[in-house]
Amino acid sequence: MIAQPPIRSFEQFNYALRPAKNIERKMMCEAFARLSRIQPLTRYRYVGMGSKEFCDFSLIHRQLGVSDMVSIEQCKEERTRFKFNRPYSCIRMRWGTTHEVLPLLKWNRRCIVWLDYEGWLDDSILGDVRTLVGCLRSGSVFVITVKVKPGELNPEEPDPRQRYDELVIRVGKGRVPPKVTGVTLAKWGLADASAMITHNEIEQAIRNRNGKLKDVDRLSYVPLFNIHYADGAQMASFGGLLVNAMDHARLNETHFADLPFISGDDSPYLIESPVLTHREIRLLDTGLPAALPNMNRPAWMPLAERRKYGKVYRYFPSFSEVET
Amino acid sequence: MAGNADDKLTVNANPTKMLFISMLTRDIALVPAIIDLADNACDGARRLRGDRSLKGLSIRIETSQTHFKIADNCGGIDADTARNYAFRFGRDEDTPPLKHSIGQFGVGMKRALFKLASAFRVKSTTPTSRFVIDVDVAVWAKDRDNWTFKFTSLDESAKIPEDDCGTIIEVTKLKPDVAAEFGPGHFEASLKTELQTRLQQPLARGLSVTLNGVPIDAEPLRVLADKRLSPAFLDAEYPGQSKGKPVRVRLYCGLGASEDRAAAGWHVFCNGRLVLEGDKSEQTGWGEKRKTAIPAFHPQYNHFRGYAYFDCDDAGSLPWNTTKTGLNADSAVYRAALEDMMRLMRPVIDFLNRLKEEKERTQDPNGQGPLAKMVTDSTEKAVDHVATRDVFVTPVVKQVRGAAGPVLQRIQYDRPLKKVRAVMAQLGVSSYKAAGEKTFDYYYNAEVEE
Repeated sequence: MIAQPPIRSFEQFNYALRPAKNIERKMMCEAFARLSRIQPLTRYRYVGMGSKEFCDFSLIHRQLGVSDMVSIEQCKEERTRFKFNRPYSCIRMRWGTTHEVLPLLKWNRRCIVWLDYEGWLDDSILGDVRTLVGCLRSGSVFVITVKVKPGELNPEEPDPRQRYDELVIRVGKGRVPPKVTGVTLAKWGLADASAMITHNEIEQAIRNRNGKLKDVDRLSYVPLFNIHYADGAQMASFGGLLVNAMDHARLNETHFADLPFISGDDSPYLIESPVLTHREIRLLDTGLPAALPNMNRPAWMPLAERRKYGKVYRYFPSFSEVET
Repeated sequence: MAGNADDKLTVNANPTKMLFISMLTRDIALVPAIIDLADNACDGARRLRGDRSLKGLSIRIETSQTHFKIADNCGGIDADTARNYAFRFGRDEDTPPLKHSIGQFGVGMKRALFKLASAFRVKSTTPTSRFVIDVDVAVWAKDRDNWTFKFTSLDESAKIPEDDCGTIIEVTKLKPDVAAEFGPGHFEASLKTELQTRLQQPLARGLSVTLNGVPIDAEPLRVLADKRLSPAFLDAEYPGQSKGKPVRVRLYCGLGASEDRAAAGWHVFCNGRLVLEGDKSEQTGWGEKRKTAIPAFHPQYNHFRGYAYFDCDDAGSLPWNTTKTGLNADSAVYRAALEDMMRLMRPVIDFLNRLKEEKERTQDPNGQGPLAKMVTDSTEKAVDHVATRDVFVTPVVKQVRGAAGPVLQRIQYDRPLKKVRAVMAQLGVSSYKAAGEKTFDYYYNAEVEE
């Protein structure tokens, strides 16, 4: 168990909502919507890990019309309960861990895959990444979310080397980029290292897969997501598109450029959730989007919170969206 | 007529250039090929400094999708050596030997260059000479009978300070598959890891190695140093090959702190160069089906650490293969050493078996028995800085039973889930474990206890 940071009482409400996760989900959904240039979204399949809430499934079905949906669930003992919680009939359950289930799925459609793990990036997750890159059809998008909070150092003998050793145990030494050291793994450093390792795994797997494909079918990887957030523990999402030349041409270079949370390069996008009351939010909304990007008013409201809100207001969960 | 008859009796056994360009290169992977080039620089460093510190000497390696470069300041190749030996394929008997070298077979540099390059340049500077050789492999291959390279430039009357001496090997045109490999992926990470492990000794002696500007640190090999767990050590000299120099064999066999599987097993070095890393196969004695058997490797042996060092002035007597990625297991020296390795292993294996039994007996999952506690409390030290003994002896400990309660036995069984759930509901427990314990206690209290 990771010790949670102390929460001041007025922040607690926000924490319970997991607003950053909620914001991320909506941002992803907006990006997925752009895939309609490749084929109508209704013909995509969504593969995720719905857990009992199925939040991502509900959103993607309602917003994008995707109705071929597969939820991978490890907790076989509570099948009835999970099935009961499915919000829509189009969600098929597949029981087992991701590394058991993914190789068994049929990959005969373009897919949107979002594997939202709870733990740190490890060999097993990278194995899932390899499976996906090896199986997904061109025009598919996939994202993984992993924990990136650096491990707690021993308070009596703090040695950053410990973090490096832990990373080596999780992913193997031959995957840790040369620039990474124990010192670089502090703060968001583990997130950056995890992004690099995932990216390298994808590129390596693509190269292997391309070995058996004809030139026209060869795939390339277009990175889209490198999102950081922290509702409690720090988390990060990495992912992008797998495309052959024909599908790549359907999405021109600027296709995602207007979405600020899309990271074509290495620089991550940090979702910061503002701590504001509902009255304050309603007030700010009346001035948006005209007040962007400076969010100058009202002066009595903390500027940092105003600015944070300005960046995410379109995705910010309103009270009615509390998942009761 | 006689000449013709002679011709008819002659069979052509000349090598072809393609053998070297595209056949021998298949026997080595890209990373070991690059390490071969680094080995040459290490040999240069050893030639300059002998057994002294290698501080101030460096190897700089650069890889990108368009170029490869390895530059060192380790003495360089003099023009005469280049002319007569360094670029020949294989080594003649009259090649002057280098004491205690890694290079031995006279294939490493050439094989690596053909592996990497369609065109390359070798530039070397010594106190008295400097030269440049440019080779376009395709052009060289076309001229089937000419087995020479030409100096692009040569100066044999130079006077150059020692600090400026060294070799730069630059690939001016990469092979396409190599260029792809140097692109995004795990290549850089795996090359770094290999450099770190394969060049452990020169790095530990102060040689500076960088990969794309990032320094590579030495990672000393460690064992548990607590005197009750200290490693066994054997230092012996075995006769070398055909009246050659003797081979010095040093074996350390003990325990490591981490249960990282990669670190476990035998690590075998020849003249300081790691040849086998964390080996857990029959080659190093594991899983032999003989009477004195060592079991096959199993995760319970993850604490096992064995380090075997073979050193000889005559590198030909050492038990390595030409790619230096494995052993020549037929070598008499190695076979003799293997007997000693297995003899030293046995007590360590016995200790680890006892450690496993102790863990199974300990009822509290967070509690530790005396052996496990000894392992946890012991600190690691570099293997050459640790007190050793002739054989590893399992420390005598008193297994505390009073404090930990009676000896326990785990029970595992399967029953239909529906019934188990019903039992859990009836008992008001939320775990299967609790359901098992409560039903056992219920039966015991009702039917057994007097």
